Amino acid sequence: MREVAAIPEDQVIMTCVAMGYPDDSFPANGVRSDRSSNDDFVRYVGFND
Amino acid sequence: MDFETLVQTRRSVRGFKKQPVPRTVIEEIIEVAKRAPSSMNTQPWHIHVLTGEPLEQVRRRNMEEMMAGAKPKRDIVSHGEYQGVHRGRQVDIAKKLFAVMGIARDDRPMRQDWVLRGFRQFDAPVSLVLAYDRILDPGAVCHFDLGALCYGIVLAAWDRGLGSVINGQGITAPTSCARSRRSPRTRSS
Repeated sequence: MREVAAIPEDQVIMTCVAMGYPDDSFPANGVRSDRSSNDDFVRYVGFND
Repeated sequence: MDFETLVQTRRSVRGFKKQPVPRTVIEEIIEVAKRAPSSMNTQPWHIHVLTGEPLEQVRRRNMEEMMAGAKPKRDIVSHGEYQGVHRGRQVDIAKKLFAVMGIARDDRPMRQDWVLRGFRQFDAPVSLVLAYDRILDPGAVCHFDLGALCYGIVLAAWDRGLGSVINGQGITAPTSCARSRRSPRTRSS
């Protein structure tokens, strides 16, 4: 990647975002990942309600 | 699309039409995403947008290196294998994806094919490579800033009918370990 795109050595490559118009017939595109319940990762401190 | 609908409907997209994405659309997306906050407004990011032949070349080389047994390697220091609850969530999403794709648990060739798709950036017509100034390493703060930029990119794309997936695999194997690998004996001598 660095070589092909001529990315300078003084930059660190973090990640990439693959992008395009969605192919609606591709089954994996219909998958929406779950999220944990707020109770699993949120605490409230000092609220009266 | 209003903000809540945008966020709630967004999904990672891993199958793309061949249709090219006009450069003007990418420019708009970046114009929006760069409003992301960053530490002290340092804006530590660089974006390299690849399409066409250069992107195909990256895919070809990544494939060759993977086939030659190169170990995926990233610029940023990464954790090892996920454990515990994180591993659980990783397995959960993989199961969901494999189920809809009809990939059986014991179907090694199909699972391998799926992994290779990831290294080909799911054959997307465009890849936005996010980088930051090396002087900021070890980088925790600018990693955070790039995360904010990245989510802005993903949402601005979704708002324009474009799908995307944040894909660390596509930028691995920067230079082939296989090509330069020496046998342990050579290395120790």
